[in-house]
Amino acid sequence: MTALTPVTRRRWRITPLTAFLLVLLAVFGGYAQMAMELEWRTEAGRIGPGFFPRLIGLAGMVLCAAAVVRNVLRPDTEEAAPASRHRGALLLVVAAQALVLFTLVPLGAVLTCVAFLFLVLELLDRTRPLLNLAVSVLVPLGLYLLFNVALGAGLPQGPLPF
Amino acid sequence: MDVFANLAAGIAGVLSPINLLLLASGVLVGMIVGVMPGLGPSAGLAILLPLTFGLDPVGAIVMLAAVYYGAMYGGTITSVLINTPGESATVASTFDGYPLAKQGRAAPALVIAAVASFVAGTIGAVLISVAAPVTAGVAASFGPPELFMLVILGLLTLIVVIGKKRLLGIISVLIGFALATVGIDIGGGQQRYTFGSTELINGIDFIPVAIGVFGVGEILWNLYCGAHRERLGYFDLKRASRRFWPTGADWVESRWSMLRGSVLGFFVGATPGAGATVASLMSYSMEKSVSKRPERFGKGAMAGLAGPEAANNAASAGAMVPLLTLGIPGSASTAVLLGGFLMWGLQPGPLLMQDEPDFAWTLIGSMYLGNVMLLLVNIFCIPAFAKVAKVRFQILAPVVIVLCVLGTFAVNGSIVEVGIMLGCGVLGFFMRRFGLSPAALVIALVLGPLAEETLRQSLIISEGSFGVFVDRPVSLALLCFLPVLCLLPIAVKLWRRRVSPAAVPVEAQPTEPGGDHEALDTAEHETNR
Amino acid sequence: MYKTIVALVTAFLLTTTLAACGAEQSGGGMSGGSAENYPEQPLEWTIAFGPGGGNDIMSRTLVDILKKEKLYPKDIAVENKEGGSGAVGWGYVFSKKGNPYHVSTTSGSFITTPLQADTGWTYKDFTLVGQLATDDSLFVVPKSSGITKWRQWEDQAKRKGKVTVGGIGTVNVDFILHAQLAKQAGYKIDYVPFNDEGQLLTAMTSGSLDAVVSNPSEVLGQVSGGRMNAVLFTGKEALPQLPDVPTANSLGFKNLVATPRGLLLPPDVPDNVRDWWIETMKKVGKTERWRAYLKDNNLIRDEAWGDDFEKELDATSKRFERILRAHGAIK
Repeated sequence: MTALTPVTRRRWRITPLTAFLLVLLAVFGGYAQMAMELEWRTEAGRIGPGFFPRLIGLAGMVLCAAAVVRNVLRPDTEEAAPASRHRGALLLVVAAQALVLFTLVPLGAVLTCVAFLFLVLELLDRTRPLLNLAVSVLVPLGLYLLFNVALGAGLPQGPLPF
Repeated sequence: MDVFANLAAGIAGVLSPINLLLLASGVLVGMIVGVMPGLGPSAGLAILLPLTFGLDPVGAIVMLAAVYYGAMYGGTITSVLINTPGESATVASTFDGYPLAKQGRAAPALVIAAVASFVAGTIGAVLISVAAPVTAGVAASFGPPELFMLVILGLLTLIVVIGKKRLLGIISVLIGFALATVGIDIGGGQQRYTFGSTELINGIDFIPVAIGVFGVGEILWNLYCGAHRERLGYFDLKRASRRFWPTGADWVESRWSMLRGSVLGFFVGATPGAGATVASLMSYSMEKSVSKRPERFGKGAMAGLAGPEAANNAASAGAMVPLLTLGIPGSASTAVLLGGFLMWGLQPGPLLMQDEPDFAWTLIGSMYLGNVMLLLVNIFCIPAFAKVAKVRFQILAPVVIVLCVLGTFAVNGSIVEVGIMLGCGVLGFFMRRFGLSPAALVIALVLGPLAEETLRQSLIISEGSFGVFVDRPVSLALLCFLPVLCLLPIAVKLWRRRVSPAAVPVEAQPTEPGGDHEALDTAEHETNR
Repeated sequence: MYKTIVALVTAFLLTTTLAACGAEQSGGGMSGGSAENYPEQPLEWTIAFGPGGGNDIMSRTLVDILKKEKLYPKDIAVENKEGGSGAVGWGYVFSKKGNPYHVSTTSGSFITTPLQADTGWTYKDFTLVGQLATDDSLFVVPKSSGITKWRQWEDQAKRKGKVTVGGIGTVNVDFILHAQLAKQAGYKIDYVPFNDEGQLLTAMTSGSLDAVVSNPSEVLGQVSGGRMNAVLFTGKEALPQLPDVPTANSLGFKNLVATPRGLLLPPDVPDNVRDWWIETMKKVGKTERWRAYLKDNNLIRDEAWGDDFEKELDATSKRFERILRAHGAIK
């Protein structure tokens, strides 16, 4: 699966890894910026709340920058990840997860999970709708019973009566 | 044999049909709870503690000990099957447990883990009988400087976890440290990176992060690789997959790992703080150091599963020593147990073992029997659990995500934590995609705050002088141990070379099933190198 | 086929979301019920902490007494809503404005959490029923120090110039107590905050600390086991188990803070409901079971109802704020 041909056609290409590292660099930058606002030593001269955040933020920036430079100069050192034909499926699942986050409390655990399971199951394998339906109804119900009835760990109930 | 008389009496006191029934049901319930991502031993104990109030004290202790071991093993099951540790002490079990499952060897892996737990439990019970006073003395001398040294020992194991990709590995560690600084700064009470959110005051918990970067991240990564289009499924079922028992080679490989892990785990586990986590990580890195074939670690080495499993189990026996002899809880789980003691009207403290020896030994006896019961129950349960490996990825993936969401929610009833978990899932995906190390992130998240806290405490105590680490004998001993741990892998390598100069790197071992395989090799490759 | 299913599911999702939102809104309005016949609905009892802690044990004891003595005629559902040092649980009760069927209990964090974070509420916003007891602290020193009396401790502290003391957290009762004691007695402290009791106690046994304050339940075993000496108790009366340990009052200390153990209702609950709860809790306070609970958990009975309770919380909150601000822990 892995194409081992080095990617050396264009030298100064921004690879996905470089982009990811740049994002990390920015995050560490913001983190370090906030760390500068915390005191790095206390009045008594001991290590303050900002001491480690500053170290972490600065080290993170330096290392990310180093990694970016290494990748821009020598993109061939980057391990070639498999080119995926499944980005769409991945994005849809992540989007469905985000939806779960917002519907879990208002709709309750059972309804949300039934809907999520069914949608994702259909997305991944459309050949067996009956099996998908069975799984997406039985699993949330079973889990709800286990958590709420047996363990007493309250899952959100939603509009359903149970 | 006088030393073991107490232990024998403790075990005998527990042996009644009712108690055995409680043991078996406790182990089962604990396992079911522990299998839920997010609900580890401490959460499991906390949830089930109220149930035991209806029982007589002996029954309650028996039940809790059983639940405790069941939940610990439940966490191992998820670590192996879906790459999701239930608590920080089982992170190390994912390193080799999950690759084993992906090679279709889930059942043997689970058997080895159960046996390792049993061996560790046995050694732990013996060590409590013979070494409790010494261990208690050492545990009582663990102030902030000693804890700091211990945490540094734990952090050193990151070198082994990161492996060859140093730059990206260290960046992963820094992300973990950065996440760990969120919340109220224990040193001065100031808030860091909470952005005004009340949910973040107590910081970012290990559980949602671990479930996210391990469990959900792994699912997303496999989706990206197209596992849902593979006809053969998520796990490799081509060969050796129908075998339930581990092979002879597995036993040979892991027997000494179990013993080493048990002894190491017991003593490290007796220290307060992150005993079990540090113990399991140290065991992993030790196993890799002394292994004849360290390159197989991370790709399904039995020794890499047996060692940490034994260590984290022995650590829970070790944690009983300060609890019973000093009245000091060393871990989240023993803190819950301590709460139980109070409710049963017992006063934990240095006198507990003298004033209530029956109680103390009943507890130790139940813990041992809990281990035995775990092994027995598992011989019947492992085939059922291992069947998970036969479920097609298309179905497994969304079900695991639902489990992760509900498990995370159930711990604190917090939707913010579910959000953190799902966010970390995406982060975990990118980390796999680009070769960062999720394990390093999670370890840094657990040990980072402890390191900061103990260092700052030490420096307040010493009025700013680093001399405190050299002045105190136990701290000095640990400090001397640091270079030993660093040099051990090199020393072992040199020694091996001298003993057998002809030995070449042993990669191709035809007798071992599952050394290399094609189906999801890319995924393997990415996650583990 | 596929499209139809997806469309159906989506439509179902949408309608139920809307229905749920609608239900939520209407739920807020009708929550009160008629106040005269209180109580006539099941009660929801929120514990803002995890199972097994001091707040949890008290709540469950109270619920148990209410049920056993048939003081609350309907069902009581207990739920732990942990997170953000109580912010999550109390925030939930706060959101149930005007609803008399929600109850929660107080802890030290009930005052400190709003001081240090933007919770959107303070203790003033709630309908305060009253305080049943206070959770006080024991001041202990290591046995090896040879100190057995508070005077000796004070002398030693002044002689050394500065002593190293420990407790749980910074924005917490432990730190405030150390600061108050040191100030009133006239010695200086270096305060070492810990995250959990286990590490605090081992720091003590390892000889890293000169003294700690701690909940009696946590250190009584250490005292009776002869590893630590108790030199002062912050409660109103001496602890039954340690009658010889002087109270802070008897040594001349004033206004020391303690963890309030009381009961609260959501904001804007009618007065007659509050009065119903005050009467009921007074009855609870007289039961044998409650007495036993206080004794087992080393709490000191210190009752204050309604407005008196609010006044006490006012005073405590001011003390916390002043000391924490001086220390720079809150802005």
